Amino acid sequence: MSQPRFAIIGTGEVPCGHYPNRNEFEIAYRVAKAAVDDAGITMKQVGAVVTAAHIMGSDYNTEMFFGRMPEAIGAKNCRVVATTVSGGASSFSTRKTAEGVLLSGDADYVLVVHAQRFSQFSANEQAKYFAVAGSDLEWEVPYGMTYNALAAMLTQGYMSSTGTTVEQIAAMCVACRKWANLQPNAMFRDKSITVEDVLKSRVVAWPLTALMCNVLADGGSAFVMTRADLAKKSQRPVYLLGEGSDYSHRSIVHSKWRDQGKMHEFFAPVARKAIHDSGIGPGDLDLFELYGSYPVILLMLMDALGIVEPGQSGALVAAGETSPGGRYPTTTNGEALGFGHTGTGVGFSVLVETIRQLQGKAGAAQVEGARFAIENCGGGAFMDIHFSVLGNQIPG
Amino acid sequence: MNTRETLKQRLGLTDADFIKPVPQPMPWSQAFWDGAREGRLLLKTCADCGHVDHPPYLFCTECGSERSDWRQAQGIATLAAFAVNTYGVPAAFVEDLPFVLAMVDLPEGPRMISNIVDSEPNELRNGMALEVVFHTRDDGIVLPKWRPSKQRGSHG
Repeated sequence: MSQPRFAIIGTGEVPCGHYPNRNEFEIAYRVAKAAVDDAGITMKQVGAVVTAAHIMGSDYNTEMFFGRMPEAIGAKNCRVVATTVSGGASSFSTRKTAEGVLLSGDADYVLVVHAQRFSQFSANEQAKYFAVAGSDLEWEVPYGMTYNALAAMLTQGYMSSTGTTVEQIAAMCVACRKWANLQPNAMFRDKSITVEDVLKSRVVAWPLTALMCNVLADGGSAFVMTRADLAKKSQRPVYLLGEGSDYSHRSIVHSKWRDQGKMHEFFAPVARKAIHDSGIGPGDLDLFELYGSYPVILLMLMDALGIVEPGQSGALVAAGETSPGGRYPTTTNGEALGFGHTGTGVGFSVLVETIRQLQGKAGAAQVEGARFAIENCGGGAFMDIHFSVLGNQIPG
Repeated sequence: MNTRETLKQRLGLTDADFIKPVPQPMPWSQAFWDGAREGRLLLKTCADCGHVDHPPYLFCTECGSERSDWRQAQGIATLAAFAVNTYGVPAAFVEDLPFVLAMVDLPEGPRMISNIVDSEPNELRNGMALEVVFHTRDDGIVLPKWRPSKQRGSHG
């Protein structure tokens, strides 16, 4: 493999949940400071600040476009500001922006920040936004389409095609919750659930029940990126070893997979490229930090990783193999289902957890001896996929 | 008190929140909605390469040509996947709950999102044959929807 070019050296995060008195500016400033402190650098070493946009709008966006962030946090030597957004894939696109700045030589350290406060919007505003955001305004929204209905259709199609049971879908939610119970910043850190609880909760969009759907939350996180050569000065650098990306569609009717049991055929070549480019060997992955946003998508992502035969991931999850103590630790922050859904922030929280794990800073959720992780994000109505392999060492 | 009045009181909604979203046609999709009003399901077909684009775009997504014809579809489809909305929808759809959303595949090529009507959800099976029905909403908007085909079996 070629030598890695970039590394993440520190992260910051705030508790996720309903915090109406904590606005998105406070979230952004707190996670920024925490990430810079964690990286072991000073605010004056930050050469660029990249922010993700606040979903559903906010004065925050204009303030970030107009350069509020470096001024507010005392990044007095910052040369570049930018906001980059690609929905749920923003943890990837902000990172790509950061890499470009690092390559240009304008900065040695780039701070990437996400903040979101959904609680400023009413329930109906949120329902309307996520009806429109996940669906086509002209062709789908007039039919009463919602994001949950989209995920429900994919779930129904996947179950019908693969024979996966609703109990196995529920088991994915339970596995995520078990990880969330180990995470001090998770929205659902204090409450455990069973498969029966998931199945008995209110039906929202059949076959999905309330506990199979995300709860929108306030939260945010940040990370500091640098060049791999500079990262060697850091205490616990995490290297970006391999990556892959692909785009499918805006509207689900144009998805590159037609059978919902075959979404893994879209994901798998991307994952294989990321793993191949990283230079790690088969079986070297210690962590599977997946972002699906709904339980069925997590199963589809696992189907793509070659752990089991496609369509069999539900059985793997139901057997506890992805839960704490299992052979395939998966989505160790509990993902949107357990950690909370902060708009574009789910991908950020999964990435930040990946870094924490590989730095050995994941507390009660720590997977001992973790060296290499595969992480993914994607946005839109399942419009794209980005897999990355990260490691706290360089293979070979 | 009916559902609407309850929601207005509890969530502070107004009558405006109960207005259903209206399709906002683009210049290149207007013909589809005009056809629906006449009870015809029209598909934008490239006059140069024959590719059918739905949703339609400005130019053919296969060859880039802006020359196209609107051809009437057979009005049949196959059910690819479905869901039943029961909760958590925008206020404008609350009074319709529960309702079925589906992905349907047309023999002409396109896949569409629509509602399945005139049936119970437990009668639905992926792969079953559907036929189009044109549903006129209270606000006069005509939406093509689908129901299980009167002729049994799959269209293949």
